Amino acid sequence: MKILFDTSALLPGLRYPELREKAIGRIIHAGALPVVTDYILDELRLNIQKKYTAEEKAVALELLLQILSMGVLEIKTWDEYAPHLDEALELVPEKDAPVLAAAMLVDIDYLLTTDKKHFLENKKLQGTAWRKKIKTPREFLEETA
Amino acid sequence: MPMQTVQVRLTEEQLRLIDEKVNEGIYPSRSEAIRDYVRKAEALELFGRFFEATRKPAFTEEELDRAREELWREKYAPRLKKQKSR
Repeated sequence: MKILFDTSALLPGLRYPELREKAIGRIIHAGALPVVTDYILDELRLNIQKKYTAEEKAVALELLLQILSMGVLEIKTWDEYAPHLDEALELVPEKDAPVLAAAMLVDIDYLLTTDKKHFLENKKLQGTAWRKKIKTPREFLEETA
Repeated sequence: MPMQTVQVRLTEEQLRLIDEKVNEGIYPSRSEAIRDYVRKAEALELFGRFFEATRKPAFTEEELDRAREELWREKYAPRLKKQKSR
């Protein structure tokens, strides 16, 4: 099983920041694979750069590098998900299309996100096959309990 | 990567659990099972440290949205445009 993490499910939100840890724990214990994309990694770096102090930034980015070098996180690249971009662009705003396009890949089982506006409550996505893959970390934990 | 041989003491219960996974075909050997457990423990520790380092401050949806917009506009939209013009 492969679970794609949106940036909103990897950085602490205002609500339930602890759920990202529980979700990662569940995935790794189950022998499943957490997945991100080059786009999400760029976003993580950008958000960390913008929000944290120099010292916090250095620690967080170093840890991210260590995680990446361990090979416990699969990284999907633009070339892999770009074939789905046109379909994704029909359903979500341009800036969210790379995330949905990656979720459309056949080997991705879930997309974890807390983004209500563009994913969870997006009317264009309702009733599509893709919507079934999209879960909040809480929904994912309940469904895989 | 070259492997080292070490002696590990495990309880009967721990060994039973490992053998169960080997018998189920999840792991080809006890060694592979133990290596995988160590790898998972390392991964969890690293993720835990990353989450601890990024525990505060929390991000608002607007902040995440703005950063995504910036990234799309400056790096990925030009890439898509270039790809489509080929």
